[in-house]
Amino acid sequence: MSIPRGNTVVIAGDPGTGKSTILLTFLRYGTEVDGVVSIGESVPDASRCKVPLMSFDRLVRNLPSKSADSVSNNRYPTLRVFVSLENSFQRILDHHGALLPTKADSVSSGDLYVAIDATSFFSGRLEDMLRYPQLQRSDGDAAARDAGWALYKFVLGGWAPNTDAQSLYWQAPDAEPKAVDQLVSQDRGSPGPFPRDREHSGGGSESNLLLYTLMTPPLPDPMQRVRLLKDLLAALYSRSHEKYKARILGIDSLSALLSLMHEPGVDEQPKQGRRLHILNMVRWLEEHGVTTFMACEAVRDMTQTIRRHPLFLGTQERYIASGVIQLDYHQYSSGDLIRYLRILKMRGAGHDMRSHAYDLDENGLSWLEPLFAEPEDGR
Amino acid sequence: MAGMNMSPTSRTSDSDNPEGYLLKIGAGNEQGVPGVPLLPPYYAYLLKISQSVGLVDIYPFLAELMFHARAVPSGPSLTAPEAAVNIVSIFIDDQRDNIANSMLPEGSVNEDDAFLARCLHDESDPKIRPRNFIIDTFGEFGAGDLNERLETSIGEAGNQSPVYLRTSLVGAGNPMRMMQRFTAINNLKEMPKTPKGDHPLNLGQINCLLLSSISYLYRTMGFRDAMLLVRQMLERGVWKPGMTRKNDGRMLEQDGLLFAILHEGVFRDDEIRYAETFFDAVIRFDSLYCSRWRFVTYGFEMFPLVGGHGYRKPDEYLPRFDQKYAYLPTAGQRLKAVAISREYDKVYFEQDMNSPLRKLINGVQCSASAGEAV
Repeated sequence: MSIPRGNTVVIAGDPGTGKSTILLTFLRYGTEVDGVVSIGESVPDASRCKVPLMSFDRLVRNLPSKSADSVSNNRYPTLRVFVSLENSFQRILDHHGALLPTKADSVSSGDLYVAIDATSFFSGRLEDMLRYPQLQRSDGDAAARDAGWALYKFVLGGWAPNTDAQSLYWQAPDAEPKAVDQLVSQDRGSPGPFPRDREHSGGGSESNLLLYTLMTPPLPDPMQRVRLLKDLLAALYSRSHEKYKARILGIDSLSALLSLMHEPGVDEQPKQGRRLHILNMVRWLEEHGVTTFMACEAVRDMTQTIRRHPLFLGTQERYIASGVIQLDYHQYSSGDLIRYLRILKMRGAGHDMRSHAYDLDENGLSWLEPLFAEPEDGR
Repeated sequence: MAGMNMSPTSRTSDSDNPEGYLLKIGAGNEQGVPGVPLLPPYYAYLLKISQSVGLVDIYPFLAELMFHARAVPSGPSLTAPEAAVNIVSIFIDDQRDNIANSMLPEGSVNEDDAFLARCLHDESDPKIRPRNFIIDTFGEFGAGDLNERLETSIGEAGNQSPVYLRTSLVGAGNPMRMMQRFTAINNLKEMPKTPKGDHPLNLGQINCLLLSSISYLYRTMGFRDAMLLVRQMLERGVWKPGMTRKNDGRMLEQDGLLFAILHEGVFRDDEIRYAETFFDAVIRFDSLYCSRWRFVTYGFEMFPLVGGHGYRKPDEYLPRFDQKYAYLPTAGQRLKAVAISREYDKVYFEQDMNSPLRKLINGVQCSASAGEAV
């Protein structure tokens, strides 16, 4: 895979097609060299993933825009950020633990891994904590610590029922409310949540695995979620750009980030507004050279078809993102299903348009081959 | 592959194997299955079964292929040692053990797994025994195989048994799943280790795929998907001529042949003709009824154009089209076939008391009277 640096790639598919698994695979193994992100080259020989990942690399080829002289094979330490809005980190650790890095991985690669548990945007974790303090579990945090993750919790400073969304900003627990760009750890005895602060506090070598858990009330406005996430990413990137020049971001999922929380009788937000949120975020990420993978639910739309095949993505994302990887099921005449993927778009690169059957296991993508037996009737 | 018409001698050279190998069906202390010459790789062989022949009738022939095939060095030398063959068998809706059962004398080996029993019964040199890789479609989803990895089942008795690998698919209607297993096997570099941790066996020198059968594929997934699977196996499989060889030790990098079974009664005539275009050779199985006896006959209808220059005797790699071969489809015995003329019929059988078929029957009757299972 030769995805140009700064591309925003949507991984869109139906439930069960493995959006999160593939996204975590890319996030774990993506390696940026000379402005191009590939995944197969970085996998150890012993890994079972090597063959399918190498196969995936062959699906996308960078256009020959670079002169031979500019190729330096420089690999910079990478900041890998995973934002989960649908599943708590504890659940991810349970189900995708093999795809998450270990402390040894991060030390040997020199990369920094940050997992942001943003499920609070929907679930209102803060409210749960206040209302049901007796049910708060600590075993999830313990499991994350055992896996080598350094834990930080972020709450919304100045949050109040009548607070204007524009004034929301992040605040570490027990800290004086501060704007996000002033955010520092209040406990000088322990490393701060951001790379530069951790180095200044002398704790930079403690762990390269950071888990940020967001504590918020439910946020019904997509723009509010996008802004708060951008605030946090901005704080992270501004405090890491000297050391981590390569940045890979995974968002699971874009659909959740931008979905509306309906109430009966309340009109949906106009589609145009939703598109603006996406545009805003994609433009911001691409300008900052963040190569982004975003899982996205497929939306079937029979009016958006090629030869009556519902090429799905009836949403706006496919027009705005730099790349689109479609995940789908093929049904044989026997009724059996098989997963397949197809790269519909990759701005700045050439790509294979064929369908490829794939399979997943706990280590991610475990098999990839060109799919044969396209449906005869064009379904 | 059909239409390639490549001479075996024109293959890409291999530093370890400059001459390449041919496939010899049937070995042990015998000279192989009568009428089947040394078969060159890069070709696809269709085993076409007439409506009067059941799949079980050709099990003795398949058993020779699966348990007794050898890789024979090509080239002028007749004394070069034989080598092992990798046999990749795909059984669609057919138990792999059926073939093993057809060869096992009743009660000779007390073993639940007939395939394992057959392997244990093999007393030939392990270095040249076929390496069997078996895919069937009787799998079940369990806790251990959700990810559908290759599950190995090892038959072992010290050095007396060859190791084989088998894996089961869930259902027979998904050609990509079959291709997935096929690819996984092709990527192997050695036989898996036994549970005892013995040293893994090397792979054989030539690959042979047995697809049993196209007709069953047809039944479960339709003609189009069935033939697509065959075509994909030909294109991506072990018999791709002229491919750039990396020699990385994978099975895929070796020469190979394809055998596929087709029942005439299942397909329409035009479909059979289309299917035959994928194959370079056709061996047709038919029934011959003589008096109270029924024989199964086989003979070549088509054979690829192979260059015979510079290696072995011409009659070792060219079939006789004027003859077919007959055997009694009985269980518990190696295949014993005799040559008869193409026009051989019941009248000739009645008149000639010294005909080859009479001798074949007499041999079977003698075996039965001696107390051997027939």
